[in-house]
Amino acid sequence: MNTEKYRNAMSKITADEELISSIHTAAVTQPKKARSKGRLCRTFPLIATAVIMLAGFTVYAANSGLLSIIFKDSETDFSPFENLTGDITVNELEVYLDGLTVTPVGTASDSYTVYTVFRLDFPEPLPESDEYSEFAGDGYGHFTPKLRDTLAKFSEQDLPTGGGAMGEYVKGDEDTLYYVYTVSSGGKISGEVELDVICQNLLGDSKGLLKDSYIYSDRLFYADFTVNVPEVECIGFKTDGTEFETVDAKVFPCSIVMTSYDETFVNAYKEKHFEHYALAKAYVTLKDGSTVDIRGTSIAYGASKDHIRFVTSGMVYSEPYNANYFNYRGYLSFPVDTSDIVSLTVGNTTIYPEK
Amino acid sequence: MTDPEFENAMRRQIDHVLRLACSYLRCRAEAEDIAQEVFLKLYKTDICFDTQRDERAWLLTVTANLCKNRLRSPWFARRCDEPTEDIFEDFPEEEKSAVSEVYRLPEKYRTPIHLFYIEEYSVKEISEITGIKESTVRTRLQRGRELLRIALPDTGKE
Repeated sequence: MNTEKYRNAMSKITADEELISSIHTAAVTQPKKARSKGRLCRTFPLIATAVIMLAGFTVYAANSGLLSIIFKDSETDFSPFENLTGDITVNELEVYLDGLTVTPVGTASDSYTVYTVFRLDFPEPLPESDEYSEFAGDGYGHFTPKLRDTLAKFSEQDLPTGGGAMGEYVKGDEDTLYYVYTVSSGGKISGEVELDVICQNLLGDSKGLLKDSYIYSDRLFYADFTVNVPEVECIGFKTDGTEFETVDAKVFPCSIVMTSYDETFVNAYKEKHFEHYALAKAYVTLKDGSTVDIRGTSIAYGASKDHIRFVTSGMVYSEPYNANYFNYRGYLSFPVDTSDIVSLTVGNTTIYPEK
Repeated sequence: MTDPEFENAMRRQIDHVLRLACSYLRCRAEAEDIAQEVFLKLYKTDICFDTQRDERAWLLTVTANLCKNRLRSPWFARRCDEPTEDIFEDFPEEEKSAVSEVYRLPEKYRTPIHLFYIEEYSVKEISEITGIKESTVRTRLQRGRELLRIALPDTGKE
C-alpha cells in the first residue's frame, strides 16, 4: 500500500480555528456536572475494554465490530458476545445438516436474561445476504419443551410475567455463523438452568437467509443444554422528577426490571401510556458516551396474579381495569458492567443510579 | 480539567479525533459533529491521564464509540452511504485517489488501517481502542491491505 500518499492526505485534515472556537464555547458554556472529591485516575485500556468479572464469567463491555448481524437498515454489532466465558453444558445436540459443526461458545446471564452463543461452521462458504435474520418467540405456546418448563418453573416464584426467546444469526467469517440465543425470563432465575433451542434455517416463509445454498434442511440444530445463572449485583435507579418516582427500577448486566405496586401510578399510566413505554426506544448510556439498546421490551400490569395483562412491543393485550401491579422488562443488546452505566432512558424519561 | 487545560488538550488532539471520525463516517460535517461531542465529554470527565498518549487513546476510543453509534443510525446510513467530497476536495489528485480508495473499504478494514498507518498504533493498542480482538485486528489489517493492493496500482510499497 502506498501509505505515504495516504498519510500526506490525512495530515491535511485539520481543525480550523472556527471549529476549535465553537467547541470551546460549547464546552465552557454547558453546565458542568459535579465532580467527585477524588479525581479518578485511570488509563485508557480500562475504558476501552471494560473487562468485568461477575461470579465466574467474563464479558467484554466494549462496543466493537468483529461480528455483525445484518438487519434491513443497519448493522448491529454483536462482538461482545465472542468473549463470553460462561460454560454451556450441552446435554443433547442434534445437527441436521451434513458437515455442519456446532460449538458452544459461551454464556452470560443474570437473574432475568441468559445469552448463549453457538458457533456454526459450515462446510462451504455461505451465500451473501442482507436479509433480516431473526425470529422471536413470545409466550409459551410454541416454545421448545425445556425452555417452556424452565420459564414456567421460575415464573411460579413471581407473578406470571411470561418470558421469551430470540435467536439471531451473526455473520462471522465466510463459512461461519454465530447463533446468539437470548432467553428472557419473567420470573427470577438462578443456579443451574436447563434450556433448549431449535435453530431454524429460516427457510420457507421466512426471508431465506440460506435458501439458495446447498443447505436444504429447515432446521440447523437442536440443543438441550444447561447453564449456571449466577447471582449478580444490580444497581437501582430513581427518577428525580415526577415520572416513575414510585417505580423500583433495577439494571442488571443483561436486564432491565422496573416494578411498581403503586396503584395511583399504575392506573395513571395504564393503557396508552403503557403501550407508549413498551414501544418506546430504551437504552442505557455508558460512561464513555456510547449507548446500549434495550430490546424485547414488554410491560405487564394487573390487579392480581390471575389478572395480568401484557403490553409487548408491537402488540397490546390490555383492558382497562383497576390495576396495582406494573412490571417493565427488557434485556440489553449485550452484557455491560453496571458500574459503567450513567443513565437509563425509556422514551422521554431518563433516570439515574441511586446514590 | 481547567479551561486552559481543556483548550490545550483540544488543540493537541483534535486533528487526530477529526481524522478518525472522517475515516469512520467519510463526511467532514459529521466528523466535526462527532469531534464536538468527544471534546464535550472530555470537558465533563473526571478522568486524568498519565500521558498524552493515554489522553489520545481515550479520545479515540470515545470517538470510535460515538462513530459506531452514528453509523448504526438508519438516518445516517441513508444519508451518508458514500464518501463525501468535503473531506478531500482540495487534495492533489494522487492523494485524493489514495484517500478515496481507503474510504471505499468496508469500515471494519478502514478503521484498523487508519489507526495503524496514520496514528501508528500497535495491533494491541488498536484492539484496546476498538474493542476488537488482537487476532481480528491482524486479520482485518491483512485483508484491508490485500483489498488496497487490488484497488491501488502502486501498492506494495509499505
